[in-house]
Amino acid sequence: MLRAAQILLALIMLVYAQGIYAQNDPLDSTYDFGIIEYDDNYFHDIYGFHYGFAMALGLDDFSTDSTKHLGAVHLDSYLGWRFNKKFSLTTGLGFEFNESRISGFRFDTQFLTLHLGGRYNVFNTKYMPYIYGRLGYGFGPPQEESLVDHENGVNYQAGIGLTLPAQNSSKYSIALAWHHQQARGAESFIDPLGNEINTKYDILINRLIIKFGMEIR
Amino acid sequence: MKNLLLGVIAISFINCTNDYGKVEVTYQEATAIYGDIEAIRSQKLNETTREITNPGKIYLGNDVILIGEEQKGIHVIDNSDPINPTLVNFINIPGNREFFVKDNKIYAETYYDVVKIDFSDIHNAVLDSRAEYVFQDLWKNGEETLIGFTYKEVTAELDQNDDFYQQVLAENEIYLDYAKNTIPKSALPSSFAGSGSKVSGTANRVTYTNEHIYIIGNNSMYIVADDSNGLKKVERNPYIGEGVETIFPFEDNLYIGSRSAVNIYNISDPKQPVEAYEFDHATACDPVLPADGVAYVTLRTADFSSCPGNTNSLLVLDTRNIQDVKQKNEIEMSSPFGMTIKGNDLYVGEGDNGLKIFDISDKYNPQLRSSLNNIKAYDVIPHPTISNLILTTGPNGVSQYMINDNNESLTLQSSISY
Repeated sequence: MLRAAQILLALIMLVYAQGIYAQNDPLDSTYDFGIIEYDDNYFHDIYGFHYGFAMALGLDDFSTDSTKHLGAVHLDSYLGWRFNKKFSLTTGLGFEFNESRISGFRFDTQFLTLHLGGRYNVFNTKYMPYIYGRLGYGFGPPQEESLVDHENGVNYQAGIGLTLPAQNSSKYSIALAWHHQQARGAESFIDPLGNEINTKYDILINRLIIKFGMEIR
Repeated sequence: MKNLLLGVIAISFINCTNDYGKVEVTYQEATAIYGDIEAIRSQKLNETTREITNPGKIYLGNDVILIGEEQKGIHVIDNSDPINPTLVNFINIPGNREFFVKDNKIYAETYYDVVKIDFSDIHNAVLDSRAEYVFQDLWKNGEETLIGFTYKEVTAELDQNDDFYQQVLAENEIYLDYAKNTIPKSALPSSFAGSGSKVSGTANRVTYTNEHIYIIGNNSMYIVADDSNGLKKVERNPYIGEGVETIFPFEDNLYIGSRSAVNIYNISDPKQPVEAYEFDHATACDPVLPADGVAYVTLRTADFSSCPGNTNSLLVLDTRNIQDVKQKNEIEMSSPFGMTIKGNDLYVGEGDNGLKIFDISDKYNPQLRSSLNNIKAYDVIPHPTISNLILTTGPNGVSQYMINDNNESLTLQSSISY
């Protein structure tokens, strides 16, 4: 219930962002300079190279119910190219830690991910909503001398976000996204009863994440 | 249209954070064995010798070696000639895993009870006394009593919603032995040695001092008084914390090693141990060997073991003031298990990584005298009367070695393989 309320609140904020602010309409004359300018010198870049950083947390991180709490921390950096006021493509490198609880067991996974992605700005308003998707491949940690023993796997992410305008070339954004990671692996441990348990897992991790980012130029 | 697209995406977020897939789990499945406890108690004590198949505790006496057969009893070996040890008897103690020896008496746990057995005549042991229901009351199923478990390895594939494993953890109610294990998977190698005063190793869970037997379970201490009237359970089971592994008496204190600490209990009143000090250390498996004003502690870890971590070392503790124990030294090791002191030398078994001998003339500053990589030793037990004879336990059996004059090398005398 709490999660549904969180999601609805975020969506309301995103979908109706353009209606909240009176000065949403861009000044058409500024398109030629690779930016969309709004009042008070706020602008968005719409053409050319940019790079960015992002950090995401799983919404289940905030659960106060220990049986439902699942950690998810993602760090991301990327390079991109804006083709016009609507489309841009990115490529990036991320580190993703996800807890998974399945069949009564809890597994920790870590991946170093290479990814390609695209973004579509739904409205070119001052607070600019967008949808995005990315496809990547997560590399598991080295197997030797590691407690985490899992293989590499495909991951993908899709979400909806909002880019905040700025008076300089650094822009902040917030997004809500759905993250998937394929994970196969094995884990052995001694349980609280002193028993040796050996597990093999083949799972698809699904996480709802909230993502905070900064883009430059 | 755009708002509709966003709405569809939004709806797709809801109820999509469960993980999907399957887990294959391999574990030991326990099946209860029920029996007539009175019939078990009245079983014949001495039986014919047999092959050592599942060895447990080991005791080295003047002319005898005792080797536990897990859950079944104790092999008696005539060691009057250390070059030619010979099996001579088998003492039938059903359910036994832990025992302690003092003055030709064996103190052993057997299911719910503790027994005292006189083996002065190594060919004919005699039951001296029995304390019943030391560890718990009878666990009955109708007229029959739970007396153990059989185990088999099971591999099962669980779907994403199967909560079987959490239920096993939550319903941890059935237990039997002194350690309250339902599915015991020994944390120590089966050949781990050491049981007996003066000649013990450092991995005991049973000890005897001041006419009392002390037995450590996973988190409680059980006490049995031993006086002229025989064994009698002391109705007091002090809580001693989780992960307790070893107990060793010295003077008026019990040194209890757990995976994260060494606890010292004062037993001036033998029936009421009082915790005097706790020395915390890194989480590891840790036999403790106290001596005069000093205690040696081995910390052993390995990934995917019962002692996970990356600490393998020998700690030297100053115990002159047990209210203020101080760490004096830490020596890096490979995989230290049990140890013993012989004169001015400390012998430390390093399992598959051999045996190390330290000069402890300066007891707080051990100096490595030699590393014997060809002797795989989990524990080391000194002979009680032959000053230059030691017994080691390894993955394939026990061996007796003569200490050479230089105190740096050993000469094999005999081996008992299993």
